[in-house]
Amino acid sequence: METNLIRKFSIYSILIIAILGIVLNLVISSKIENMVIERSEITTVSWVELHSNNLLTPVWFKNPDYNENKGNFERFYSMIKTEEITRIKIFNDIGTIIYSDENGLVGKNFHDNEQLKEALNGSVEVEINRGLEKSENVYERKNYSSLMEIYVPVRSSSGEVYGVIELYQILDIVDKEIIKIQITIAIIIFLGLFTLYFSLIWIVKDASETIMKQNLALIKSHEELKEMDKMKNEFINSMSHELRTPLNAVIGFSDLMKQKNTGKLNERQEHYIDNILKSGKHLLAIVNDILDMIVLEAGKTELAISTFPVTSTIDENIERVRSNTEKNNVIINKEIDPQLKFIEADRQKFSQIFCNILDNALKFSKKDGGAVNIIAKKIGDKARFSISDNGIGIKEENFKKLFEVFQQLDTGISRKYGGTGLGLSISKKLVELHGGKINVESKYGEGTTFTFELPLVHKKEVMQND
Amino acid sequence: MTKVLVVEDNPINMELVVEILKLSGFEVYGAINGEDAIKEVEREHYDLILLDIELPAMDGISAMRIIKSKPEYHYVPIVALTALAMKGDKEKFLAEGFDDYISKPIDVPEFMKKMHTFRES
Repeated sequence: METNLIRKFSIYSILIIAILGIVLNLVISSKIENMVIERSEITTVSWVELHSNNLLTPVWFKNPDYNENKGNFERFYSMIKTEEITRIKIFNDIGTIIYSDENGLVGKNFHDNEQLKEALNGSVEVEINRGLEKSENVYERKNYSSLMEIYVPVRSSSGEVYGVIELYQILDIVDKEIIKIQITIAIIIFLGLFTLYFSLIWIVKDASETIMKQNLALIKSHEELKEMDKMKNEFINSMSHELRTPLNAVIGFSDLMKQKNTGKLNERQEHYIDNILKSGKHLLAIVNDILDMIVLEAGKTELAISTFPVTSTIDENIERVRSNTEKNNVIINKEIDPQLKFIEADRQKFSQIFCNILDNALKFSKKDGGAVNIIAKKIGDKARFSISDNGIGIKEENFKKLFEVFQQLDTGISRKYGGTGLGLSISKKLVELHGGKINVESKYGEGTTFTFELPLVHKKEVMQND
Repeated sequence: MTKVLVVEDNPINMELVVEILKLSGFEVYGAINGEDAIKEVEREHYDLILLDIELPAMDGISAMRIIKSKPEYHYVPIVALTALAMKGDKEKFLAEGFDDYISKPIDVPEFMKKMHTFRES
């Protein structure tokens, strides 16, 4: 991961540096060339102007006998000649050559030459010729690869142009200097860019190392969380195991004695054994409910969704609750909507909800003349189940508390009616896990109705979250 | 008489199961861990084995596998009798190869009924 990132970064950076370097070099090189040539031109021009002002006189230019001043011009030429200056042509004000180091040119007129014309008008003219090794001019080709022709106007003290000096300056030395400077600049540019590159790499490496470290820390904390979760699960499992093991003996032995398999008991002993058995079973119910609640609270409960028939499931559950209740005289009425045939839900969880509420209703219905009404109805895309009793009822201010953990409304009730105090909170969670809702209606002293609604078709994305 | 081997490390729970089985008319023997159980089945032939899962030395699942691998025990029912009763435990043990699963605490009348079916089969 990390090396891949740096490799990618390197490839892109080197590509960018190469392009940037070449472009920079091209721009700077041409600038440098211009600057160096301009500098050399200015030097030459001022050098020529200095000597022409001191050494030349207008009279020489006006003399039609060119040979008469040849010596003067030769002296002038020897004064200004450097190793870079190779040829001289001196023109008078009508463009005729009055002196040249090449004798054959003297007397020839070049007034049509554009640059000469401009120079006679007072401006310094420059022409650069490169690639002379391929030139048609044999003279030029033989000796140099590049030349600069400079036309320098010659002025009187009043500023009037009375002639032009044309010099051929060899640029080979200047060119060599230009190349040297260009190479130096190129080296500096690339060194600079590579320094930039290496510092960027260093920064990227540093950053990626930091990211890696953070990633590792995240992975570690994730693993720690997973480990903690695992430990929690193990704790829940072993707590369940450790609580059930002694309960096995308590419930088992007392049940065995109650079945009178171990000999006859007197009335008092029988009563006591019954109490032990009941308490053991109550404790087991609490253990089961607490474990259910822990798993529900952890959001780990998974629904096993199936489509099942409503009527037969309700009948089974009524049977189950009846067999466990002592209130066998309570009348259970049921009314099931013929349109409500099937429902898609977790059948076991549905039964758990249904039994919890029905068990409550039986528990709280009147001792004499007690009746529980079960109504199941299809309402739109939902199934509504209502279970009512005619018992003591609940005060309205206590409705909310009903679904909270360990909230039996008055401690007397739990003593009188049993129950774990978790049944309704578990039922609420299970209903919500199905994407449904549960509520209660009650009149104090008249009875209570619990109603829960479940969608007929389970929606997978529905998750309980308060 | 149907011979049952009860493998259980908790002496009180062992006593309970042995008592119920005796009352139900079984010939009952006990082993206190997986290794002990294997020695026992090699020594004697049993018609039914009730095996706890959480056992010292060797757990119930490993013991069940070893016993099941013996040709003479291929068709002998081995029942998991365990306090491991969280959601999914029953399915897990049946998938491992147990023939049945009974969770603790046991319901005495139901347990007796179930044992009766094993004696008949």
